[in-house]
Amino acid sequence: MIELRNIKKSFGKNEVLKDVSVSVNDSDVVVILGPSGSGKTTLLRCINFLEKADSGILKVNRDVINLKNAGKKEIQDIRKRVSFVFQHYNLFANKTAIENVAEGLIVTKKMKKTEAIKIAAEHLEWVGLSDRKDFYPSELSGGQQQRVGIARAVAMDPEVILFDEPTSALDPELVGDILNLIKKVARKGIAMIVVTHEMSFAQEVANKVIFMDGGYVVEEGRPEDIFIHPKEERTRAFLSKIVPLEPMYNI
Amino acid sequence: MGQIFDIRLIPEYTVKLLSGIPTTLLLFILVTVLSLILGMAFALIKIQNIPFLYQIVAILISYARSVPGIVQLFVVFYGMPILIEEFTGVNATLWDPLLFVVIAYTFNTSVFFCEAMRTAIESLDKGQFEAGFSVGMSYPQVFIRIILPQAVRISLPTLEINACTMMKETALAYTIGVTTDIMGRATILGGRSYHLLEADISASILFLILNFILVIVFSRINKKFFTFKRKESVAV
Ligand SMILES: Nc1ncnc2c1ncn2[C@@H]1O[C@H](COP(=O)(O)OP(=O)(O)OP(=O)(O)O)[C@@H](O)[C@H]1O
Ligand SMILES: [Mg+2]
Repeated sequence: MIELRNIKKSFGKNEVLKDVSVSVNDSDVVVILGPSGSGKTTLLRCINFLEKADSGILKVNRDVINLKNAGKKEIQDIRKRVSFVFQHYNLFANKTAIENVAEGLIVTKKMKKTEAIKIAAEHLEWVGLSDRKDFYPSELSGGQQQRVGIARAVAMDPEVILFDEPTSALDPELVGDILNLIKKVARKGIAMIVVTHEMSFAQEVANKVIFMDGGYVVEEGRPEDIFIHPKEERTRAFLSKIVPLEPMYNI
Repeated sequence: MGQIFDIRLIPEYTVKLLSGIPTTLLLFILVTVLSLILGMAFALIKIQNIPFLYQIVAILISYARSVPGIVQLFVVFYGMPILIEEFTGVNATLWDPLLFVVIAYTFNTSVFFCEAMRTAIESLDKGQFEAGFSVGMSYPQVFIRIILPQAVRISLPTLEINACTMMKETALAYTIGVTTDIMGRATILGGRSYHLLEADISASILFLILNFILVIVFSRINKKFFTFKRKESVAV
Protein backbone atom coordinates (compact mmCIF):
# COMPACT_ATOMS: atom_id res chain seq x y z
CA MET A 1 0.00 0.00 0.00
CA ILE A 2 1.20 3.47 -0.90
CA GLU A 3 0.08 6.59 0.85
CA LEU A 4 1.01 10.21 0.27
CA ARG A 5 0.12 12.65 2.96
CA ASN A 6 0.03 16.43 2.86
CA ILE A 7 2.49 16.94 0.05
CA LYS A 8 3.51 20.51 -0.55
CA LYS A 9 5.79 21.76 -3.27
CA SER A 10 6.58 25.21 -4.60
CA PHE A 11 8.88 26.38 -7.34
CA GLY A 12 9.91 29.78 -6.08
CA LYS A 13 6.68 31.70 -5.55
CA ASN A 14 4.70 29.23 -7.63
CA GLU A 15 2.86 26.98 -5.17
CA VAL A 16 2.23 23.92 -7.30
CA LEU A 17 1.14 21.38 -4.70
CA LYS A 18 -0.60 23.08 -1.79
CA ASP A 19 -1.70 20.03 0.15
CA VAL A 20 -2.12 16.77 -1.68
CA SER A 21 -2.89 13.39 -0.16
CA VAL A 22 -3.41 10.21 -2.13
CA SER A 23 -3.69 6.61 -1.11
CA VAL A 24 -3.19 3.60 -3.33
CA ASN A 25 -4.10 0.10 -2.24
CA ASP A 26 -2.33 -3.01 -3.46
CA SER A 27 -3.09 -3.65 -7.13
CA ASP A 28 -5.04 -0.39 -7.39
CA VAL A 29 -4.97 1.53 -10.64
CA VAL A 30 -5.25 5.19 -9.77
CA VAL A 31 -5.69 7.66 -12.61
CA ILE A 32 -4.86 11.30 -12.03
CA LEU A 33 -6.60 13.91 -14.16
CA GLY A 34 -6.25 17.64 -14.18
CA PRO A 35 -5.60 20.64 -16.35
CA SER A 36 -2.17 21.43 -17.65
CA GLY A 37 0.03 22.91 -14.96
CA SER A 38 -2.04 21.50 -12.10
CA GLY A 39 1.00 19.66 -10.74
CA LYS A 40 0.35 16.07 -11.83
CA THR A 41 3.87 15.50 -13.07
CA THR A 42 5.30 17.28 -10.05
CA LEU A 43 3.34 14.99 -7.73
CA LEU A 44 4.66 11.83 -9.42
CA ARG A 45 8.20 13.22 -9.40
CA CYS A 46 7.99 13.96 -5.70
CA ILE A 47 7.07 10.34 -5.00
CA ASN A 48 10.36 8.99 -6.29
CA PHE A 49 12.41 12.05 -5.37
CA LEU A 50 13.11 13.35 -8.85
CA GLU A 51 11.74 16.46 -7.22
CA LYS A 52 12.19 17.22 -3.55
CA ALA A 53 8.87 18.05 -1.86
CA ASP A 54 8.83 20.92 0.64
CA SER A 55 6.96 18.72 3.05
CA GLY A 56 4.90 15.56 3.13
CA ILE A 57 4.96 11.94 4.16
CA LEU A 58 5.27 8.90 1.94
CA LYS A 59 4.17 5.54 3.25
CA VAL A 60 5.18 2.46 1.27
CA ASN A 61 3.74 -0.55 3.04
CA ARG A 62 5.28 -0.41 6.52
CA ASP A 63 7.90 2.21 5.76
CA VAL A 64 7.24 5.83 6.51
CA ILE A 65 9.44 8.38 4.79
CA ASN A 66 9.60 12.09 5.21
CA LEU A 67 9.74 13.46 1.68
CA LYS A 68 11.63 16.57 2.68
CA ASN A 69 14.57 15.15 4.55
CA ALA A 70 14.91 11.54 3.45
CA GLY A 71 18.51 10.36 3.31
CA LYS A 72 20.33 8.98 0.26
CA LYS A 73 19.83 5.38 1.36
CA GLU A 74 16.11 5.84 1.92
CA ILE A 75 15.71 7.57 -1.43
CA GLN A 76 17.51 4.80 -3.30
CA ASP A 77 15.50 2.19 -1.46
CA ILE A 78 12.23 3.86 -2.45
CA ARG A 79 13.34 4.20 -6.04
CA LYS A 80 14.02 0.48 -6.21
CA ARG A 81 10.45 -0.15 -5.11
CA VAL A 82 8.77 2.57 -7.17
CA SER A 83 9.24 2.46 -10.95
CA PHE A 84 8.68 5.37 -13.28
CA VAL A 85 7.52 5.37 -16.89
CA PHE A 86 8.34 8.65 -18.57
CA GLN A 87 6.39 10.66 -21.08
CA HIS A 88 9.46 10.85 -23.31
CA TYR A 89 10.59 7.28 -22.56
CA ASN A 90 14.05 8.33 -21.38
CA LEU A 91 15.73 5.13 -22.46
CA PHE A 92 19.48 5.03 -21.88
CA ALA A 93 20.75 6.11 -25.29
CA ASN A 94 24.02 4.19 -24.95
CA LYS A 95 22.35 0.88 -24.12
CA THR A 96 20.43 -1.60 -26.26
CA ALA A 97 16.82 -2.43 -25.48
CA ILE A 98 17.76 -5.46 -23.43
CA GLU A 99 20.54 -3.59 -21.63
CA ASN A 100 18.07 -0.84 -20.78
CA VAL A 101 15.91 -3.38 -18.99
CA ALA A 102 18.83 -5.18 -17.37
CA GLU A 103 20.67 -2.06 -16.16
CA GLY A 104 18.69 -1.51 -12.96
CA LEU A 105 18.73 -5.23 -12.17
CA ILE A 106 22.51 -5.36 -12.45
CA VAL A 107 23.36 -2.09 -10.75
CA THR A 108 20.77 -1.70 -8.03
CA LYS A 109 19.39 -5.19 -7.56
CA LYS A 110 22.95 -6.57 -7.74
CA MET A 111 21.99 -9.46 -9.99
CA LYS A 112 24.54 -11.44 -11.97
CA LYS A 113 24.71 -10.17 -15.51
CA THR A 114 23.53 -13.43 -17.06
CA GLU A 115 20.56 -13.59 -14.72
CA ALA A 116 19.64 -9.96 -15.36
CA ILE A 117 19.83 -10.47 -19.13
CA LYS A 118 17.61 -13.52 -18.84
CA ILE A 119 14.99 -11.61 -16.89
CA ALA A 120 15.28 -8.66 -19.26
CA ALA A 121 14.74 -10.96 -22.24
CA GLU A 122 11.60 -12.38 -20.62
CA HIS A 123 10.24 -8.91 -20.08
CA LEU A 124 11.02 -7.79 -23.61
CA GLU A 125 9.18 -10.84 -24.84
CA TRP A 126 6.30 -9.95 -22.57
CA VAL A 127 6.02 -6.50 -24.16
CA GLY A 128 6.38 -8.05 -27.63
CA LEU A 129 9.85 -6.82 -28.50
CA SER A 130 11.98 -9.96 -28.55
CA ASP A 131 13.07 -9.26 -32.10
CA ARG A 132 14.31 -5.80 -31.17
CA LYS A 133 16.31 -6.67 -28.09
CA ASP A 134 19.68 -5.66 -29.55
CA PHE A 135 18.44 -2.40 -31.03
CA TYR A 136 19.52 0.91 -29.59
CA PRO A 137 16.84 3.48 -28.69
CA SER A 138 17.72 5.60 -31.73
CA GLU A 139 16.77 2.59 -33.86
CA LEU A 140 13.34 2.12 -32.26
CA SER A 141 10.02 3.84 -32.92
CA GLY A 142 8.34 5.84 -30.16
CA GLY A 143 5.92 3.02 -29.43
CA GLN A 144 8.75 0.48 -29.26
CA GLN A 145 10.74 2.75 -26.97
CA GLN A 146 7.82 3.09 -24.62
CA ARG A 147 7.44 -0.70 -24.57
CA VAL A 148 11.05 -0.93 -23.47
CA GLY A 149 10.35 1.78 -20.89
CA ILE A 150 7.48 -0.27 -19.51
CA ALA A 151 9.54 -3.47 -19.56
CA ARG A 152 12.28 -1.65 -17.65
CA ALA A 153 9.79 -0.49 -15.03
CA VAL A 154 8.09 -3.87 -14.62
CA ALA A 155 11.36 -5.84 -14.54
CA MET A 156 12.35 -4.04 -11.35
CA ASP A 157 9.45 -5.91 -9.72
CA PRO A 158 8.23 -2.71 -8.02
CA GLU A 159 5.46 -2.20 -5.51
CA VAL A 160 4.03 0.59 -7.61
CA ILE A 161 4.64 2.00 -11.09
CA LEU A 162 4.18 5.68 -11.84
CA PHE A 163 3.17 6.54 -15.41
CA ASP A 164 3.44 10.15 -16.48
CA GLU A 165 1.38 10.60 -19.65
CA PRO A 166 2.89 7.46 -21.14
CA THR A 167 1.12 7.84 -24.48
CA SER A 168 1.03 11.56 -25.05
CA ALA A 169 4.24 11.68 -27.09
CA LEU A 170 3.10 8.87 -29.38
CA ASP A 171 1.52 8.88 -32.80
CA PRO A 172 -2.25 8.41 -32.39
CA GLU A 173 -2.26 4.98 -34.01
CA LEU A 174 0.22 3.66 -31.43
CA VAL A 175 -1.62 4.94 -28.37
CA GLY A 176 -4.06 2.03 -28.20
CA ASP A 177 -1.26 -0.55 -28.24
CA ILE A 178 0.53 1.05 -25.35
CA LEU A 179 -2.68 1.46 -23.36
CA ASN A 180 -3.36 -2.24 -23.89
CA LEU A 181 0.10 -3.00 -22.62
CA ILE A 182 -0.50 -0.87 -19.52
CA LYS A 183 -3.72 -2.79 -18.95
CA LYS A 184 -1.66 -5.96 -19.11
CA VAL A 185 0.57 -4.52 -16.39
CA ALA A 186 -2.50 -3.75 -14.31
CA ARG A 187 -3.68 -7.35 -14.69
CA LYS A 188 -0.39 -8.50 -13.18
CA GLY A 189 -1.65 -6.89 -10.00
CA ILE A 190 1.03 -4.21 -9.74
CA ALA A 191 -0.32 -1.03 -8.19
CA MET A 192 -0.02 2.00 -10.42
CA ILE A 193 -0.62 5.69 -10.59
CA VAL A 194 -1.27 6.89 -14.12
CA VAL A 195 -1.39 10.50 -15.24
CA THR A 196 -3.23 10.50 -18.53
CA HIS A 197 -5.72 12.35 -20.65
CA GLU A 198 -7.06 9.09 -22.08
CA MET A 199 -10.48 9.13 -20.45
CA SER A 200 -11.69 5.86 -21.90
CA PHE A 201 -8.64 4.15 -20.46
CA ALA A 202 -9.41 5.69 -17.08
CA GLN A 203 -13.01 4.54 -17.24
CA GLU A 204 -12.09 1.04 -18.17
CA VAL A 205 -9.05 0.33 -16.02
CA ALA A 206 -8.98 2.65 -13.03
CA ASN A 207 -10.54 1.77 -9.75
CA LYS A 208 -9.92 5.26 -8.52
CA VAL A 209 -9.86 8.57 -10.35
CA ILE A 210 -8.37 11.68 -8.84
CA PHE A 211 -9.05 15.13 -10.20
CA MET A 212 -6.39 17.72 -9.32
CA ASP A 213 -6.58 21.44 -9.77
CA GLY A 214 -5.09 24.51 -8.17
CA GLY A 215 -2.67 22.53 -6.02
CA TYR A 216 -5.33 20.36 -4.38
CA VAL A 217 -7.18 17.13 -4.98
CA VAL A 218 -10.55 18.55 -5.95
CA GLU A 219 -12.41 15.28 -6.12
CA GLU A 220 -11.70 11.58 -6.06
CA GLY A 221 -13.76 8.45 -6.43
CA ARG A 222 -14.65 5.50 -8.58
CA PRO A 223 -14.49 6.26 -12.30
CA GLU A 224 -18.23 5.85 -12.80
CA ASP A 225 -18.86 8.43 -10.06
CA ILE A 226 -16.31 10.94 -11.27
CA PHE A 227 -17.21 10.67 -14.94
CA ILE A 228 -20.97 10.41 -14.68
CA HIS A 229 -21.83 12.22 -11.46
CA PRO A 230 -19.01 14.58 -10.62
CA LYS A 231 -19.80 16.49 -7.46
CA GLU A 232 -17.57 19.47 -8.01
CA GLU A 233 -18.23 22.14 -10.56
CA ARG A 234 -14.56 22.31 -11.48
CA THR A 235 -14.47 18.61 -12.28
CA ARG A 236 -17.55 18.92 -14.42
CA ALA A 237 -16.11 21.87 -16.31
CA PHE A 238 -12.82 20.04 -16.92
CA LEU A 239 -14.49 16.85 -18.10
CA SER A 240 -16.89 18.61 -20.41
CA LYS A 241 -13.91 20.17 -22.13
CA ILE A 242 -12.13 16.91 -22.74
CA VAL A 243 -14.39 13.92 -23.25
CA PRO A 244 -17.24 12.46 -25.00
CA LEU A 245 -18.45 10.37 -22.08
CA GLU A 246 -19.35 7.19 -23.89
CA PRO A 247 -16.63 4.60 -23.75
CA MET A 248 -14.76 5.11 -26.92
CA TYR A 249 -11.90 3.08 -28.18
CA ASN A 250 -10.00 3.68 -31.32
CA ILE A 251 -7.57 0.83 -31.32
CA MET B 1 76.94 29.82 -42.52
CA GLY B 2 74.24 27.50 -43.78
CA GLN B 3 75.02 24.83 -46.30
CA ILE B 4 73.11 24.59 -49.54
CA PHE B 5 69.74 22.90 -49.12
CA ASP B 6 70.22 19.20 -49.82
CA ILE B 7 67.01 17.36 -50.54
CA ARG B 8 68.78 13.99 -50.43
CA LEU B 9 69.27 14.37 -46.71
CA ILE B 10 65.55 14.29 -46.04
CA PRO B 11 64.98 10.52 -46.35
CA GLU B 12 68.06 9.86 -44.26
CA TYR B 13 67.01 12.32 -41.56
CA THR B 14 63.46 11.03 -41.56
CA VAL B 15 64.73 7.53 -40.79
CA LYS B 16 67.02 8.90 -38.08
CA LEU B 17 64.20 10.84 -36.47
CA LEU B 18 62.12 7.66 -36.14
CA SER B 19 64.05 7.13 -32.92
CA GLY B 20 62.23 10.16 -31.53
CA ILE B 21 58.81 8.60 -31.97
CA PRO B 22 58.74 6.58 -28.73
CA THR B 23 59.24 9.68 -26.59
CA THR B 24 56.76 11.75 -28.57
CA LEU B 25 54.19 8.97 -28.37
CA LEU B 26 54.85 8.38 -24.68
CA LEU B 27 54.32 12.08 -24.02
CA PHE B 28 51.18 12.06 -26.10
CA ILE B 29 49.66 9.01 -24.44
CA LEU B 30 50.54 10.06 -20.89
CA VAL B 31 49.18 13.55 -21.36
CA THR B 32 46.02 12.30 -23.07
CA VAL B 33 45.18 9.78 -20.36
CA LEU B 34 45.97 12.14 -17.48
CA SER B 35 44.06 14.96 -19.16
CA LEU B 36 40.99 12.78 -19.62
CA ILE B 37 40.94 12.04 -15.91
CA LEU B 38 41.73 15.56 -14.78
CA GLY B 39 39.46 17.11 -17.42
CA MET B 40 36.58 14.94 -16.23
CA ALA B 41 37.20 16.01 -12.66
CA PHE B 42 37.28 19.67 -13.71
CA ALA B 43 34.06 19.20 -15.68
CA LEU B 44 32.34 17.66 -12.66
CA ILE B 45 33.52 20.50 -10.44
CA LYS B 46 32.04 23.01 -12.87
CA ILE B 47 28.79 21.14 -13.38
CA GLN B 48 28.27 20.52 -9.69
CA ASN B 49 29.29 24.09 -9.02
CA ILE B 50 31.45 23.03 -6.08
CA PRO B 51 32.39 26.20 -4.19
CA PHE B 52 36.07 27.19 -4.04
CA LEU B 53 37.13 24.40 -6.44
CA TYR B 54 34.89 25.98 -9.04
CA GLN B 55 36.76 29.28 -8.79
CA ILE B 56 40.12 27.52 -9.03
CA VAL B 57 39.08 25.66 -12.15
CA ALA B 58 37.72 28.87 -13.67
CA ILE B 59 41.08 30.59 -13.11
CA LEU B 60 42.97 27.63 -14.55
CA ILE B 61 40.74 27.67 -17.61
CA SER B 62 41.29 31.32 -18.38
CA TYR B 63 45.04 30.92 -17.74
CA ALA B 64 45.35 27.96 -20.09
CA ARG B 65 43.29 29.72 -22.72
CA SER B 66 45.06 33.04 -22.73
CA VAL B 67 48.70 32.27 -21.98
CA PRO B 68 50.87 30.96 -24.86
CA GLY B 69 51.84 27.31 -24.57
CA ILE B 70 55.55 28.02 -24.46
CA VAL B 71 55.07 30.43 -21.56
CA GLN B 72 53.05 27.82 -19.69
CA LEU B 73 55.86 25.35 -20.26
CA PHE B 74 58.49 27.75 -18.92
CA VAL B 75 56.38 28.65 -15.90
CA VAL B 76 56.01 24.99 -14.98
CA PHE B 77 59.62 24.07 -15.78
CA TYR B 78 61.23 26.93 -13.89
CA GLY B 79 58.51 27.58 -11.32
CA MET B 80 57.62 24.13 -10.03
CA PRO B 81 61.09 23.19 -8.74
CA ILE B 82 61.06 26.37 -6.65
CA LEU B 83 57.67 25.49 -5.20
CA ILE B 84 58.70 21.89 -4.60
CA GLU B 85 61.86 22.99 -2.85
CA GLU B 86 59.91 25.52 -0.78
CA PHE B 87 57.34 23.00 0.47
CA THR B 88 59.27 19.73 0.63
CA GLY B 89 62.91 20.71 0.58
CA VAL B 90 63.48 18.38 -2.35
CA ASN B 91 65.72 19.67 -5.11
CA ALA B 92 63.76 19.14 -8.31
CA THR B 93 65.93 21.10 -10.69
CA LEU B 94 67.65 17.96 -11.91
CA TRP B 95 64.52 15.93 -12.51
CA ASP B 96 63.92 14.74 -16.02
CA PRO B 97 62.51 17.69 -17.99
CA LEU B 98 60.04 15.24 -19.57
CA LEU B 99 58.23 15.20 -16.26
CA PHE B 100 57.63 18.93 -16.45
CA VAL B 101 56.52 18.63 -20.04
CA VAL B 102 53.93 16.07 -18.98
CA ILE B 103 52.75 18.31 -16.14
CA ALA B 104 52.56 21.47 -18.25
CA TYR B 105 50.71 19.81 -21.12
CA THR B 106 48.39 17.82 -18.90
CA PHE B 107 47.36 20.98 -17.18
CA ASN B 108 46.77 22.75 -20.47
CA THR B 109 45.07 19.89 -22.28
CA SER B 110 42.83 18.92 -19.38
CA VAL B 111 41.38 22.40 -19.41
CA PHE B 112 40.34 21.98 -23.03
CA PHE B 113 39.09 18.44 -22.42
CA CYS B 114 37.12 19.78 -19.46
CA GLU B 115 35.28 22.31 -21.56
CA ALA B 116 34.57 19.77 -24.31
CA MET B 117 33.14 17.25 -21.85
CA ARG B 118 31.26 19.80 -19.78
CA THR B 119 29.38 21.14 -22.78
CA ALA B 120 28.71 17.56 -23.93
CA ILE B 121 27.28 16.59 -20.56
CA GLU B 122 25.18 19.71 -20.38
CA SER B 123 23.80 19.02 -23.84
CA LEU B 124 22.44 15.64 -22.72
CA ASP B 125 18.75 15.38 -21.88
CA LYS B 126 18.33 15.41 -18.11
CA GLY B 127 15.97 12.50 -18.64
CA GLN B 128 19.10 10.36 -18.99
CA PHE B 129 20.02 11.11 -15.38
CA GLU B 130 16.44 10.76 -14.20
CA ALA B 131 15.96 7.38 -15.85
CA GLY B 132 19.03 6.16 -13.99
CA PHE B 133 17.82 7.56 -10.68
CA SER B 134 14.38 6.08 -11.26
CA VAL B 135 15.79 2.56 -11.20
CA GLY B 136 17.69 3.31 -8.00
CA MET B 137 21.14 4.13 -9.36
CA SER B 138 23.32 6.59 -7.47
CA TYR B 139 24.75 9.73 -9.07
CA PRO B 140 28.22 8.20 -9.59
CA GLN B 141 26.67 5.05 -11.08
CA VAL B 142 24.52 7.01 -13.50
CA PHE B 143 27.42 9.27 -14.32
CA ILE B 144 29.87 6.50 -15.15
CA ARG B 145 27.53 4.04 -16.85
CA ILE B 146 25.11 6.31 -18.67
CA ILE B 147 26.32 9.88 -18.91
CA LEU B 148 30.05 9.50 -19.49
CA PRO B 149 29.84 7.23 -22.55
CA GLN B 150 27.37 9.59 -24.19
CA ALA B 151 29.40 12.65 -23.25
CA VAL B 152 32.56 11.11 -24.69
CA ARG B 153 30.73 10.30 -27.89
CA ILE B 154 29.54 13.87 -28.28
CA SER B 155 32.86 15.44 -27.31
CA LEU B 156 35.05 13.04 -29.29
CA PRO B 157 35.57 15.35 -32.29
CA THR B 158 36.64 18.18 -29.99
CA LEU B 159 38.81 15.88 -27.88
CA GLU B 160 40.44 14.71 -31.10
CA ILE B 161 41.27 18.24 -32.24
CA ASN B 162 42.67 19.13 -28.83
CA ALA B 163 44.71 15.93 -28.68
CA CYS B 164 46.15 16.54 -32.16
CA THR B 165 47.07 20.08 -31.20
CA MET B 166 48.69 18.87 -28.02
CA MET B 167 50.77 16.27 -29.86
CA LYS B 168 52.35 18.79 -32.16
CA GLU B 169 52.78 21.34 -29.39
CA THR B 170 54.86 18.85 -27.42
CA ALA B 171 57.57 19.70 -29.95
CA LEU B 172 58.28 22.73 -27.78
CA ALA B 173 59.79 20.36 -25.23
CA TYR B 174 63.20 20.86 -26.84
CA THR B 175 63.20 24.42 -25.46
CA ILE B 176 63.62 23.05 -21.95
CA GLY B 177 66.22 20.52 -22.94
CA VAL B 178 64.29 17.43 -23.98
CA THR B 179 66.40 15.71 -26.63
CA THR B 180 64.77 12.33 -27.14
CA ASP B 181 61.53 13.28 -28.89
CA ILE B 182 61.16 13.94 -32.61
CA MET B 183 61.84 17.67 -32.38
CA GLY B 184 64.64 17.26 -29.87
CA ARG B 185 66.40 14.85 -32.21
CA ALA B 186 65.75 17.09 -35.20
CA THR B 187 67.26 20.07 -33.40
CA ILE B 188 70.40 18.14 -32.57
CA LEU B 189 70.69 16.58 -36.00
CA GLY B 190 70.14 19.84 -37.84
CA GLY B 191 72.31 21.81 -35.46
CA ARG B 192 75.30 19.55 -35.91
CA SER B 193 75.18 19.45 -39.69
CA TYR B 194 73.83 22.95 -40.24
CA HIS B 195 71.07 21.31 -42.31
CA LEU B 196 68.37 22.51 -39.97
CA LEU B 197 65.73 22.96 -42.65
CA GLU B 198 66.14 19.38 -43.87
CA ALA B 199 65.75 18.14 -40.29
CA ASP B 200 62.63 20.26 -39.84
CA ILE B 201 61.12 18.93 -43.05
CA SER B 202 61.84 15.37 -41.90
CA ALA B 203 60.16 16.15 -38.60
CA SER B 204 57.21 17.57 -40.53
CA ILE B 205 56.84 14.30 -42.40
CA LEU B 206 56.81 12.30 -39.19
CA PHE B 207 54.25 14.61 -37.54
CA LEU B 208 52.04 14.36 -40.62
CA ILE B 209 52.16 10.57 -40.46
CA LEU B 210 51.51 10.51 -36.72
CA ASN B 211 48.57 12.83 -37.10
CA PHE B 212 47.18 10.70 -39.88
CA ILE B 213 47.41 7.59 -37.70
CA LEU B 214 45.79 9.45 -34.83
CA VAL B 215 42.80 10.40 -36.95
CA ILE B 216 42.34 6.77 -37.95
CA VAL B 217 42.63 5.58 -34.35
CA PHE B 218 40.03 8.10 -33.20
CA SER B 219 37.58 7.09 -35.88
CA ARG B 220 38.06 3.40 -34.99
CA ILE B 221 37.43 4.15 -31.33
CA ASN B 222 34.35 6.13 -32.23
CA LYS B 223 32.94 3.37 -34.43
CA LYS B 224 33.73 0.58 -32.03
CA PHE B 225 32.67 2.04 -28.71
CA PHE B 226 30.60 5.15 -29.13
CA THR B 227 28.20 4.82 -32.02
CA PHE B 228 25.31 3.27 -30.09
CA LYS B 229 23.93 1.64 -33.20
CA ARG B 230 23.94 -1.98 -34.28
CA LYS B 231 26.81 -3.04 -36.52
CA GLU B 232 24.56 -3.85 -39.46
CA SER B 233 22.79 -0.50 -39.33
CA VAL B 234 26.11 1.35 -39.19
CA ALA B 235 27.39 -0.51 -42.24
CA VAL B 236 24.40 0.51 -44.34
N1 LIG C 1 11.54 22.33 -12.48
C1 LIG C 1 10.62 23.31 -12.41
N2 LIG C 1 10.98 24.58 -12.12
C2 LIG C 1 10.06 25.55 -12.02
N3 LIG C 1 8.75 25.38 -12.20
C3 LIG C 1 8.32 24.15 -12.50
C4 LIG C 1 9.23 23.05 -12.61
N4 LIG C 1 8.52 21.94 -12.91
C5 LIG C 1 7.23 22.33 -12.98
N5 LIG C 1 7.10 23.65 -12.72
C6 LIG C 1 5.84 24.40 -12.69
O1 LIG C 1 4.95 23.69 -11.87
C7 LIG C 1 3.65 23.73 -12.40
C8 LIG C 1 3.09 22.34 -12.52
O2 LIG C 1 3.81 21.64 -13.50
P1 LIG C 1 3.55 20.12 -13.83
O3 LIG C 1 4.48 19.73 -14.88
O4 LIG C 1 3.57 19.32 -12.57
O5 LIG C 1 2.06 20.17 -14.39
P2 LIG C 1 1.20 19.02 -15.05
O6 LIG C 1 -0.06 18.92 -14.28
O7 LIG C 1 2.00 17.78 -15.18
O8 LIG C 1 0.88 19.65 -16.48
P3 LIG C 1 0.78 18.92 -17.91
O9 LIG C 1 -0.60 18.31 -17.98
O10 LIG C 1 0.92 20.04 -18.88
O11 LIG C 1 1.85 17.91 -18.01
C9 LIG C 1 3.72 24.50 -13.70
O12 LIG C 1 3.30 25.82 -13.44
C10 LIG C 1 5.19 24.48 -14.03
O13 LIG C 1 5.55 25.65 -14.69
MG1 LIG D 1 2.81 16.68 -16.81
